[in-house]
Amino acid sequence: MMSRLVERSWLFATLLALTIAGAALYQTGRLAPVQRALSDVSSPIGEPSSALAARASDAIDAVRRFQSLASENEDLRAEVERLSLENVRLTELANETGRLRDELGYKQTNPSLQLRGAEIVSRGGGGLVPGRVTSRDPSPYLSVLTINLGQRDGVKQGQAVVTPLGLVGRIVDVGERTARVLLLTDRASSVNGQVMRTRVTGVVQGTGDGRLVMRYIEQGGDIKIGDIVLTAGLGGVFPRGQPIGQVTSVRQQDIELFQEAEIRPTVDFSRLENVLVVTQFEPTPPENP
Amino acid sequence: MLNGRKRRGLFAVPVNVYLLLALVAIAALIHVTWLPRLPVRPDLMLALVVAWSLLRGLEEGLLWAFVGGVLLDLLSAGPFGAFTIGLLVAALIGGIVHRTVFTSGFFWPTATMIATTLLFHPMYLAVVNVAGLKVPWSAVSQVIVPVLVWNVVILLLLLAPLAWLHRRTAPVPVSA
Repeated sequence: MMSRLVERSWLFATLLALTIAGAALYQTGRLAPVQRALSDVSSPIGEPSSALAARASDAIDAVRRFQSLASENEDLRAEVERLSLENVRLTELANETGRLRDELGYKQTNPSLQLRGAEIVSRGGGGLVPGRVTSRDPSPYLSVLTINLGQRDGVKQGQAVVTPLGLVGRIVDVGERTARVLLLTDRASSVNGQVMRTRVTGVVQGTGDGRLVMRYIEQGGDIKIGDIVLTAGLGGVFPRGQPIGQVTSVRQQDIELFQEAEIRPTVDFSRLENVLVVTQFEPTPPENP
Repeated sequence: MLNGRKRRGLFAVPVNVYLLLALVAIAALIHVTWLPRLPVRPDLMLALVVAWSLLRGLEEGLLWAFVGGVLLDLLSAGPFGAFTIGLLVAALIGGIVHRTVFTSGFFWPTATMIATTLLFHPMYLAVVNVAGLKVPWSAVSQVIVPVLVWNVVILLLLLAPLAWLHRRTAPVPVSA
């Protein structure tokens, strides 16, 4: 009996040692090809399984609601989303027109100055590759998903991932046929945001539980509940003007250096099926104050 | 119900290896496709490992834990070893319960599942934090309570089919 116990202890110790050796290999990056290969292999299996899961999830939802009410609700929701996006785009255009008008007015009222106009280049749209979510991270503490696009589709690390509703996250690892996306809601995720109405900036960070918090908003910066937050485009990682979310609460204390705002993402991350990877975009120059 | 017949040798599991790979691979696939859609994400692999350890003992439990953990670690963006170490410890506890407790029913499986879940999540976060990903410990409290209930439910659901599988695949003891 004693020898069997020792034998079993050895098995545990051996497997633990193998795990630690694997962890050491992981730290040196040597496991990355294995991970990518497994991801590539599991993706074709995971994709239909994921689609089936999505359908099953939808079916359960449908049972819960009355059919007519559900379809009407879906239609209305789609309409609201379309109009919200249209509203975002139109407001952005109006702001842009206003700024151009101001610049023009400035030029006319300052004829002595030599001014050179800068052309506003296109935002996003340079290269968008549609992808499908094949799997999500098995850990409840990490907000990462895998999509069925990889190096062969021109996907590279750091590229932004969006949907028509707004920003999803960025690519953190790329295999031949799959890529991992760090969602905006992950604790490790942060992006420069800008309030659409007032151009007040801050850093939008994930909380890990599906919420977003906009930090480092200057005291006195005009931000209120209901404001739309867009990507600021600073740093050139994310294209400017992509919707991030809507402000649901603002925390302002005079003793603090900055304000904080809680943001509800425009994208429903729990029901994400299709995404777009921005493989190319022209970074917009920072706005003149 | 839980006390399976003992085998000889460390890796003398030729038939069960295929079973192990198939079941663990399916569980890993469910882990990354179906479970994230639920509002609470139960630890299916943990429940599977605990159930098999309770039915078959430490050796097979450890093997299931290792294979399942490696698969989940490779499919995860988290550090390698986070799932595997937690599952190995869970199998160890399951194996000890299998060896020392000779009772049937649901009390010991439930108690084992609660104990392993309470150990698994802090261990997972410990490895994640050691590896440099800063996940606050408060995250455990947000996750663990609902997961605990689900894990027990899943374990109890898994026990009956796995007990059937155990009876079908248990090696015949060598007579003297």
